[in-house]
Amino acid sequence: MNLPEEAIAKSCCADLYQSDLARMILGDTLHPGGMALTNRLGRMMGIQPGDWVADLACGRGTSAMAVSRAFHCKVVGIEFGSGAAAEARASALEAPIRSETFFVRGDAEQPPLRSSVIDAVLCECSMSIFPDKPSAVKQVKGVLRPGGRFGLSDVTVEPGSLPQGLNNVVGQVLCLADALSVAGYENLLTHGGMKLQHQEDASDEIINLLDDLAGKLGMILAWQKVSQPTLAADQDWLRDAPDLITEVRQLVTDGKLGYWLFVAEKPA
Amino acid sequence: MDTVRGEAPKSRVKQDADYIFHELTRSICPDCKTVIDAQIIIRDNKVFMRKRCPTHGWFEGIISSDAEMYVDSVKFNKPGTIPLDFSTEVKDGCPLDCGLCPEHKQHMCLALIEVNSACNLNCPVCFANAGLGFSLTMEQVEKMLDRFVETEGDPEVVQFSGGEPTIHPQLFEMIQAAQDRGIRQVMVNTNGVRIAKDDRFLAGLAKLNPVIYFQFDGLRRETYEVIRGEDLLDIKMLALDRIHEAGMSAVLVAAIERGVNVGEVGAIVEFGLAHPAVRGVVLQPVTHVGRHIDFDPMQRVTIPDVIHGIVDQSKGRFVMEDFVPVPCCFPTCQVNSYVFVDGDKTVPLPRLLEIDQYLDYITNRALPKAPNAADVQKALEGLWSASAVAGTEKTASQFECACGPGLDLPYSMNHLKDHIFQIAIKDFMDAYTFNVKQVMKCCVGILVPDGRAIPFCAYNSVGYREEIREQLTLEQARSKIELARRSNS
Repeated sequence: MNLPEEAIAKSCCADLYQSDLARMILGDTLHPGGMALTNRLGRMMGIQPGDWVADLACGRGTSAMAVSRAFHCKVVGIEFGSGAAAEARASALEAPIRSETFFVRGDAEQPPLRSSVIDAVLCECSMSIFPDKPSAVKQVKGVLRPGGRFGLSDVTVEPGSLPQGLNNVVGQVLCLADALSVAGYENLLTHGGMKLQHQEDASDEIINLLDDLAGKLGMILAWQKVSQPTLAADQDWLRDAPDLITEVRQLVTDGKLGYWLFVAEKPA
Repeated sequence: MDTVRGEAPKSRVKQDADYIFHELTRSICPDCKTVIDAQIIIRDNKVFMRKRCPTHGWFEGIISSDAEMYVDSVKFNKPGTIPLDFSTEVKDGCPLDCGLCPEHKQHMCLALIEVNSACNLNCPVCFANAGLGFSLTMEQVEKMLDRFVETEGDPEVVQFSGGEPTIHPQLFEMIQAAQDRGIRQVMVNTNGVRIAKDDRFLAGLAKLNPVIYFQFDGLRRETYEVIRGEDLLDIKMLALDRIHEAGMSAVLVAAIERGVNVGEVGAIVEFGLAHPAVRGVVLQPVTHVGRHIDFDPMQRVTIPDVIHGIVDQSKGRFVMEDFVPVPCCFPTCQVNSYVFVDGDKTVPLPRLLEIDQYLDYITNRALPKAPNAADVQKALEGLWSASAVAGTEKTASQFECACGPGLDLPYSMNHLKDHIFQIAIKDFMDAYTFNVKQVMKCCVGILVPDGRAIPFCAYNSVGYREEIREQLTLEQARSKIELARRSNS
């Protein structure tokens, strides 16, 4: 990495995703729609048995393993967080049903893969946190074989619609900080030399996630009220979280915030 | 006019019928399965189905032993949700076009996959009739799951059943395949025999951590002897303890039979509340399909009998009002209750808020609602649904949301889900009580390898089970013959 600040920011974000609190609130799969939406994206991409698939910013490898088993394909998971790749590798070994998954530590924006070998690249809810998106798309195009597919799912934010209060941990957990608009992702892909094939609105999944989040936060708060009268300084955001959730829900209803799936092909 | 002495003259005074004609619906003939009209009548505050087959004559069976409860439950009927895709066309009419056909009134909250027909027990009440058998392949199950995802989008619950699913050699792969497809809750319906005996199996199962839908008919040895054909009590107790040691959760599922274990329903609930592995109980009056003990359709157990049983036998812990009809299916099919449990203290959720206010979809529409009513209603709908699985985080967060700020729960989330106990009473229909109206809104389906999802009671009563089983058995026999032929040549 030539930009140390970005590296720090990225590893912070990766750390956040590894934190126990995030894991508890969001469950094992860290993006809206969970495995069901990952499968939907995989079907849209036309992943075939035996394909080589790269999963950028794969976290603990939960989706990578599931995609490998559900589509009978081979998946390389790439993760920047230092513990994550090792942990993913370990959990793949411990999994009761084997999957053809391989995990490497590396920069998802500069995947450590040979060029033109991968049939499909998955990037779920992480393009929005990449600081240099055009370069990431260029790298993806580089590793894809001609005719290979890039499946992108991410949070969309229409310009100027993000309120101040969301630039905190909740905003970060929901990948809001550096997300693009729907048109922004379209441009990103087409300017990167990819041919846009499908796009689908999955914003309902954010509502589902918010409902779930609201219930769990309510429980944590109720518990804290009794066991620990004052919140620790770094948990201050918890108190405001319910209001923020209401605010985010309204943004989704108004079409200012969304979650979209895009599939683009590398021209032959 | 001559009258014979000693014989009363024929009365000229009109007499009232001894029943109220409640409604006309459609059903099937218990003998030939032909679709026929059926009357729902109320007599002595009980509800009966009365019907006539042109070939086999009149049939009558009891549907509910409490007419008031039956009629009242109608207001809990909720608008259905249309699935994303249908697998059949409307041709011969309900229930002959399953499924689902475009006339079905609800999506599938819960899907069952019967992975095999073999079992390690030989129960006289089993609806998964014995005989020649089949065992699904992994490819078949993956195809069924994929189709289910296509029709549901984001399926809630899949339950692996049998036969006895734990003796299928690829059960783990199947559970994993369902989890990989984003199905939120995967359940395994088992008699527990393998869990009690096989350490390696249990360790593997615990890694996947499905909810165990555990057949548990009572606490008396005689109960098992009558219902399951042998005394299984020790095996059941051992299996439950092992489920707990392995860190898994179980829901007790009891088949309730008149003259056998109606007197035990309270004890089953109490036992469940006390056992650390148990997160809920499901009480199912025995359906008289498949192999069964001789029975009288006028004497079958119905939902009110089970509720009365729990109320009478639980020493004041429960009252009738703690049990509320489930709106997603036809509300006469199932009632649920949720209980917050803390040691000896139990608080049923229906006492914490006016559930009628949220789940009454018909009589109550115009009443003013609390500001968070939509959230509470959504949470309650989640709990009062065929897809609610006891002992999961989702159920716990819905409980919290439904109770709102009125209930301060001093528990972390992981603890909270251990403190919420579900009681469900599910009345599956048999050929005597089969009501097309109910089956049209059924939300519990059996997935079939050809991609269909057939409503549970239609599958078991109309003849789908026999047809599909024969087809699967034949297919399997054919492929075995083919294999043998190839290896010989």
